[in-house]
Amino acid sequence: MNFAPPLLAAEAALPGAVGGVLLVSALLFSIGMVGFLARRNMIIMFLSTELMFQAAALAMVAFGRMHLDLSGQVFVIFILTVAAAEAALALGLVVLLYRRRETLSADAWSEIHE
Amino acid sequence: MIPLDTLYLAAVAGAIALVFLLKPGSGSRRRAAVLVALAALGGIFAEGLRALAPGEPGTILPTIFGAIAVIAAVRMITISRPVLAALHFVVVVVASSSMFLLLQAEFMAFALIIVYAGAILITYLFVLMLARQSPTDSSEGPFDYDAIPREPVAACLVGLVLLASISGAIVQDAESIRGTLESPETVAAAEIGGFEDLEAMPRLLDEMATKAFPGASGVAMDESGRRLRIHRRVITTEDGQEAIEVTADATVLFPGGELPTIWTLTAADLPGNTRLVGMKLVASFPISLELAGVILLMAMYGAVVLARRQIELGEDERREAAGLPRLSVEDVDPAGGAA
Repeated sequence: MNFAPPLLAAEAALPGAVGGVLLVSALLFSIGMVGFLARRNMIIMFLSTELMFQAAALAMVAFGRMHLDLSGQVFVIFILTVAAAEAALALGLVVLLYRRRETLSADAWSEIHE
Repeated sequence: MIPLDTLYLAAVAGAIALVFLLKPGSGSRRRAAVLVALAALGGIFAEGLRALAPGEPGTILPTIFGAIAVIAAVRMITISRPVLAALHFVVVVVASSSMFLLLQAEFMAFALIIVYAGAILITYLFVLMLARQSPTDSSEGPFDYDAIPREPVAACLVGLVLLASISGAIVQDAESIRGTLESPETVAAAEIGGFEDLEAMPRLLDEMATKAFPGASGVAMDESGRRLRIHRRVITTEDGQEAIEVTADATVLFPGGELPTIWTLTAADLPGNTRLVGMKLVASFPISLELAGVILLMAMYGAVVLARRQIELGEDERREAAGLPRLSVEDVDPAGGAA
């Protein structure tokens, strides 16, 4: 049973990777936020929230790698769970709304707010 | 204090370019916006990595994958056809799972591809196919709500503030990130944690002992119930530097009256990423694991309830379903019938 110890193989590690991945996660989160605010298609809006989940997962794993603590990766499992649940509910909602108005535009529902 | 001017300038340029990319535009202005956006991305990376990882080897791959992820994400929110947006999101997922591999999170990398690219994105594509009616596709171009953004300037302003504050905080904290990363204390603490996890997996430990010592029956437990004796000591390496070495001793038992042997494990004997993540998941977060199951179940119910086609049942159908006879005209209250 000759396990390679991936978590602790310091010589194979890329210390520079953590900083780069943290930057990428900041960029992806901001882009997801812009997409959620600027797009009018409901499906793209939900896709942008998935992008933000992705950025959070990247940050979790990067910080976990920084502290050599596996809790970060465990949190990603929970992020995946919540993302899957959110996708199921959001898409159910989109299908329901599409049946009522025959359009994916979020503006079609803007009169809901008072 | 690390000066952040260049980083903020690059972020502002990127945000302005993103406004023009979001708007439906003509060729030359769009090309200029693409160039500015790429330059801004390069500026953010160069400036961030200069603070976070100066002179470190191994920043090439994260930069390449990061650039792929960010460019695909920008394409995702600027492209007008939703199906292509979903496919660009697949590129983001694949690029981030390669970054997970660089961060030595193998299990999560493949779980991400399976769950995101394999399951969630396919669901999105299904809904897109269900919702999109074919006649408007390709012949008349995208719908208005796909082509024209809502308040792109305000959205990009929000994104700019978000990006500036997050990346500014990361770059400001570069010192502590670099200090924690790979510091001997961090590595030693992780190795001790790894040995403690290994101790909590007695069957794996016995299996490893049988591999290392053919004929052994397993690892002995001492009076206090410990199987491993974890040692942490400061040693001096050949080049005169101090390092922390963590080892663990185990007593290996043999069945036929042979004397027990002391077996010294080093960090190289620790189990791999998947086993340690699984151990952490069930040992440290059992309630969260149960709650995750409940969330998934509730989401399943919710999706079924939401997406089900709603049929309005009349009074007669409801009475029939309840096993009652249909209402006849004579049963109706005279006043109600007259109304």
